Amino acid sequence: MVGRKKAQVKIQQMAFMIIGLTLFFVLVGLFVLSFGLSGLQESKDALDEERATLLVGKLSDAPEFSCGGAYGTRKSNCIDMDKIFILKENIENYKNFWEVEGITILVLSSNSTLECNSNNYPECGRFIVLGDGKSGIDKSDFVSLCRKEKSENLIYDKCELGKLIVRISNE
Amino acid sequence: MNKKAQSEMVGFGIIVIIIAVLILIFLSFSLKENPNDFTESSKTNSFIQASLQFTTTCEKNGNRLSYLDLIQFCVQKNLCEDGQNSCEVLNLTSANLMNSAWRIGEDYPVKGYDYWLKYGGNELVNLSEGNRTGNSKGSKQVFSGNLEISLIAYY
Repeated sequence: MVGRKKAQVKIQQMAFMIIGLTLFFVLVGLFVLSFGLSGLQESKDALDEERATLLVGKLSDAPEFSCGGAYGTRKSNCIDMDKIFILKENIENYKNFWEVEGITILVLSSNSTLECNSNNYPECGRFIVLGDGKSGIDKSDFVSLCRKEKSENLIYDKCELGKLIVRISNE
Repeated sequence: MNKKAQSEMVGFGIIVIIIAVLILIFLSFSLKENPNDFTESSKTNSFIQASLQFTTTCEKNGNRLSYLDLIQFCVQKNLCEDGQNSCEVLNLTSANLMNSAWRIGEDYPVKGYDYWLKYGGNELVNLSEGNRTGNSKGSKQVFSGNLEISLIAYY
């Protein structure tokens, strides 16, 4: 009778041990999983942002956009607004050239939200260079928007803060 | 015999509780996010680069200074041609650039930001807006002449 009781206690002990160990490993597993998944999300966000920067950098350094040497030393992520104005008028020739759905440039430091045209340039807020209204995913980054400005008899370089938004296909 | 088994079970229970408490302490330490730690961001990097080229309203010898030149002008404590204090223009320009580029608030992805600019250890600009959340992205750039610019955006 005593031996049976002892065996029961031992079984009970083992059962508790198994439950405890299972709970412990489940907790550790959840912990590792949550850490791993949060890392994945961060990596995805970082890659997305890097992709946007590379895409915008590739476009802004294209000869059709870049400031080149027209504004002193060569600047990276610098867009020549005068070039854009001409490019916008001849965009039919470039429709599939960059393989993107749309290109919009926002002049962030401008108070205006008007779309730029020959009547209001440069007192305007945005250039829709390509693909107005097409669907897709927008990727954007900050750029410098430079142009030649005339003040009385002096012509100087004026650079503003802008955002280049590139719309890529979501397929 | 029964007593011995009971005390063994109590001991085992205590061990489980100690391990659980240790795990909780470890978890709370590892999940606690330091607001000073931020993930490097290419967006804040490109903002700093683009803002350095921005043409300000401060003039020197008839030429409008870029933001980068205005920083040097402020360090030398010079006045702009129209008599304005170059450091005041620098602060005003910085605030305008931040406001136009980083919209903050509940309806926007960015909830707040910290922007500062130091030259040789002296703080020339220090702007903070909105809330500091645990999720931050930013960058710190160091230029020649001990110029440091840091921008942290809180999401």
